[in-house]
Amino acid sequence: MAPEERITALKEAPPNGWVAFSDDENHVVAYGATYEEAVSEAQRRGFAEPVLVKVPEDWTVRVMRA
Amino acid sequence: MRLTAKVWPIDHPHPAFPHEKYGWAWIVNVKLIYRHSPPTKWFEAFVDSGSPWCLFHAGLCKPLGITLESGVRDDLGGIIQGAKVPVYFHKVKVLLALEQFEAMAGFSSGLTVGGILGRRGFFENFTVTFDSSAAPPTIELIRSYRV
Repeated sequence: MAPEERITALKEAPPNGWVAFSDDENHVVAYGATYEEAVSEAQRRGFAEPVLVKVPEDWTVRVMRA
Repeated sequence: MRLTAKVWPIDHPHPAFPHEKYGWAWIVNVKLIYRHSPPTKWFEAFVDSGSPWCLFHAGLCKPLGITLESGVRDDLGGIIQGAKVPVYFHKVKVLLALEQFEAMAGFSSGLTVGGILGRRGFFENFTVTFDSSAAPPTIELIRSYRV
């Protein structure tokens, strides 16, 4: 997946949810409000081993310090 | 192993960097195992040397069989002053490519990403080299085995 395609896919994902990509990370295969929902929906669509990404509430740049 | 950084959206181009439409981030795919649970699916975690610990989103607890609030509690704040959120520590195994390491990792529902690989557990088990001079940027991880 080209960088621009990944950016579009992530920005189109519902905030605060999870997005599931195919195992080669080339396609979005499911969304879910939770990790489990996204995995379940991906599997229902035939993608047994999706790669999950947690989508933040917004795309504000964050610097972490725990 | 050498991995390529992944792109991560930004709200809008920063006024100081108006031509940048997205950022590159040190993101790797990991899985978690808790005790004898089946592993999670691969999910993305940020490599963050600024974090003392590995941190994961609390939404991963249920599928792993972790009771979130049974862990050791602390409060987590960001570098920008603001509200702190509770984080609960549990011992998990982290799978990264063909490597596996154990970490006392914090879980929090306040985490905005799926995971953060910090110093304890991750950086103490890998020699990490960031190369932002490459396009795209890369990260090299060499497993170190402490004696």
